[in-house]
Amino acid sequence: MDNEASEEEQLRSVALDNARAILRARQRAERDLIAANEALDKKTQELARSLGLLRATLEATSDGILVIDCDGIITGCNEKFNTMWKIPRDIDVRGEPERLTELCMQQVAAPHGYLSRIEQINRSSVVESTDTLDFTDGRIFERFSTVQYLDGQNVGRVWSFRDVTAQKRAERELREQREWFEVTLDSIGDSVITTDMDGKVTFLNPVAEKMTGWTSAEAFGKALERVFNVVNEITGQAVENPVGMVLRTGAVVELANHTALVAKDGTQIAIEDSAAPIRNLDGDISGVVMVFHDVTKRRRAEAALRDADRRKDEFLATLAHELRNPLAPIRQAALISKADGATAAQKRWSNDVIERQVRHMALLLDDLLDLSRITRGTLALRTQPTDLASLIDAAIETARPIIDAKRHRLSIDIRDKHERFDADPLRMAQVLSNLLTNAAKYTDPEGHIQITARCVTQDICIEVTDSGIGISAENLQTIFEMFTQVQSTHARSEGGLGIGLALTKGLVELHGGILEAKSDGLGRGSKFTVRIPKRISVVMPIDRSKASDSAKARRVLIADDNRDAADSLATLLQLDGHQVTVVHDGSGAMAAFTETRPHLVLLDIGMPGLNGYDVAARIRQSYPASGTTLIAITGWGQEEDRARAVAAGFDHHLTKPVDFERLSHLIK
Amino acid sequence: MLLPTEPIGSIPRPLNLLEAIETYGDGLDPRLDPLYERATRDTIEQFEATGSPVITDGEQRKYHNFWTYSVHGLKNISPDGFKIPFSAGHTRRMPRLTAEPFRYKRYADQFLDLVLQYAHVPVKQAVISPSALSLMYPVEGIEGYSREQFIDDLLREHETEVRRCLQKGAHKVQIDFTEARLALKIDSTGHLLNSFIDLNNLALSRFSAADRQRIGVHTCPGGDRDSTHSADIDYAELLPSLFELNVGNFYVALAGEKDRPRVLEAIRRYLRPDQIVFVGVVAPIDPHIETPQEVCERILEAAQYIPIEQLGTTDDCGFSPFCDDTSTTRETAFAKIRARVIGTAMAADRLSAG
Repeated sequence: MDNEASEEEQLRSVALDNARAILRARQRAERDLIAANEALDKKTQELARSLGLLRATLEATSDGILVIDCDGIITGCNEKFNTMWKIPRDIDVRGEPERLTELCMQQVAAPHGYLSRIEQINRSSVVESTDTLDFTDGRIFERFSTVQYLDGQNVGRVWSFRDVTAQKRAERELREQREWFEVTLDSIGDSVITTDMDGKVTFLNPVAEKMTGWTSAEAFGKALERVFNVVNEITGQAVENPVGMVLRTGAVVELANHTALVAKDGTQIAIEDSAAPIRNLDGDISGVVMVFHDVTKRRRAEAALRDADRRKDEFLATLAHELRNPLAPIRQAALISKADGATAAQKRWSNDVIERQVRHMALLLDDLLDLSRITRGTLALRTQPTDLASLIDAAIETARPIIDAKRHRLSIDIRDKHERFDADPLRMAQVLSNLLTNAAKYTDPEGHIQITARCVTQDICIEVTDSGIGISAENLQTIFEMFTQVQSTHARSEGGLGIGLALTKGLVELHGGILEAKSDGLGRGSKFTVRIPKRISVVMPIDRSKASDSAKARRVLIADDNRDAADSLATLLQLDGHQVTVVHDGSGAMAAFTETRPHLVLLDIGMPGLNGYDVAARIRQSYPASGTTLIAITGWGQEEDRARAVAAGFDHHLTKPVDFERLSHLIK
Repeated sequence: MLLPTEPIGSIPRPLNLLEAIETYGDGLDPRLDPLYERATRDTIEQFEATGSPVITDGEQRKYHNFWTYSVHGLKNISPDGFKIPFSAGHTRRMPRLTAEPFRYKRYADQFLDLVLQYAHVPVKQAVISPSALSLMYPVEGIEGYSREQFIDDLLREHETEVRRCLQKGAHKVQIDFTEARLALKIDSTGHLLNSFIDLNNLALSRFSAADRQRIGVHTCPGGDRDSTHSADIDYAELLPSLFELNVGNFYVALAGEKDRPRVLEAIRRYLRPDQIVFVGVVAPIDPHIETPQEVCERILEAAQYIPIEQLGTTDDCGFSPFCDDTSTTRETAFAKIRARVIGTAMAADRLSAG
């Protein structure tokens, strides 16, 4: 028993010793636990802070973020995600994944594509994915996803969404703008070259490609000087390329005058243009754009303009000369006529001189007016069936004096003498007489002039050939231009305004015809050919009754505020035996009409007070059955002027200066 | 509704195995391996035949007993440790540590290797508590190896054993804390018991809460040759401290208790909400084979005190904690287990029916 008691005591002793050791172990463990708890608390605080920072970071980012674990369970998202996807506040995306998917699919433009892409990404386990989502409301998101690893283990995927609507729109606008810009550059007529900030070519539009001979691809990256090689077009010396100056100064640079581009094939093209800096958003120069164009045609036009200007000056000088020339004999003849001692013969001679010079001046002025009307398109032809032979006779008759004066031999060859064609006989006679007169002028005395006329198919062809001074090939190009006078370059000027051939050509063309000049050169004569379409000729009945009226004395009323014109015309009519009353205004005309009841009234249109139209209208209104012939006398002779006169009640319309023969004819 | 039911662990070894052990003189003789395997497979088959949803290997290879299996064969122990007297008059002597360091000779997870090959239901593994092994340190101490160092080594070895069992897939790991009542017998002040509780909690604190839900503690008054070592100690004195252990499961002998209502009342008072108590409904040391009806009645009685969701059933003790205990036959053991399984199902039905 003692032994058992001892063993039991030993067991108790061991147990209690152990209990003390266990207590110490427990105390150690508790201390360790306290330390561990403190460390854990610290770690927890650090973790909480880290999580807070992480959360704040997630919330601070502009991206919407969604985290899904590898079982497809949503483990978190930031507020931005909810905002971007318009998730209602009452929906917890973690607890309602199906509802979230439904909401998302309702918003994207291609919901099935949206879902299948997610499934594809999850199935393929790609580490990263990127795509874009188009929304029904027009927004565009970029969608990124990346596998999330923890201790090397795939624990899910982080999805981030970025609203790139503005960026995509800007890209699209930029793309459209670029396309618009390129289309514009392609379509404009100017050449455009752009360079980078180092002066290397970055772009040529098609026009620039054509002018330089470089394609845009060839030129890309090359120094501008190689592609845009410019020289002074007069000296051929190289001129400074403007790009360098633009890059240095940042200012728009105009090219120097007389700059020529030397194309790739060596041809030179006169150009004109400027260069300007291209600035980026910061205002820094990022390149240079050059715009230039071919000015070759303009240079030619400028030269032509200068030449025309020169010829106009010469014309004005000539005109002054030609108008002044008759004044001296007129003035002198007038003095002689007024001289007390002048004989009757001297006075007749004086009158002849005055009449001849006035006629000459009238012709000059007629030519000028005609040419002006042709130029302005206001000359109207009085086309009628015209006898070819009679026409040529009339023209020869007009030109005969100068032909005879220079003792030229005139050959006439009219093959179809009875041919008739549509023409204004006066104007066509003017054409032919001008050509004959020119031939006579520019042929040395005792020369040979030939006029031939024939019918060629549907045209009347008339040729005037001379053995004169001829025309150089150079002058042949401009001989029909206004103010051109072949002889102006020669010592043998025959006077004139130098508008004759221009007028002649204009008259021919008014008839639908053409006028051509040929010459084998200086000293080898000239040939002018007129071709007029014959067209249909209708024989017009001729009113012979009036023509057969015998002349008899008439009561004539003249109304003109130009007293000299009125008085001189009255004298001429009185010399023909007519009874003439002269007044100088419209009111006087009406009074005189009432008093004298004239057979014929000559009314100046441009009178003060009642003008000619007014007087005519009143006469026709007050005396509708008077039978008085009303004749308008005016400086305006166009068809519209004639029409207006007829409308006012005039029977005839004569232009100043009055052709007295025609007037006499009308009175008869 | 199902009431969980689990065995404690040991099943009497086949007699031919015991004879062979006696013949070879050492239960670790390699020549015994085929017999051990055969015994284990037979135990598994019979265990599963009872319908028990959780089985053990019957501790066929635990040599020599549930207490010393982990240190048996160490060179730094001697067999002259303290004695445990049983009510039947016999004693069991524990080994004594003679030199540093304290290390296990084997861990119980090695027994799982075989049973997991053949079992078709979850397998439970029982291990000895650190408090039981703490009594190996000699009263005179070991020079250069303090008691504190020993306690540290002991805790580490115990932790290793439990963790290995959990990792290998044991359905539950049951810590045999049969010395709890013995501690009160040795030290009626309760200091020793509390130190045992502390020691075991130190070990349990090394595991996670989830692990602890797979760990349980078994206590009983001992069971060897149909007798106990501490049945005279009032359960009511033990239970308050017992439920201080930080485990999810308690396997408490109840069938053999004289005053079950008193014990159940104590359990109700001290059981924490996160704990499940498996009450013993069959008594291995009682030769009488309980009927399922008897088992059912005991469960219904327990259900009056314990919330059903915290109630399970078990055996009061292993059927043969010491390998050479032949007081109970294998047939009796499995018959009792079958009664437990069926009786538990009956009780579950009754309880479900309201």
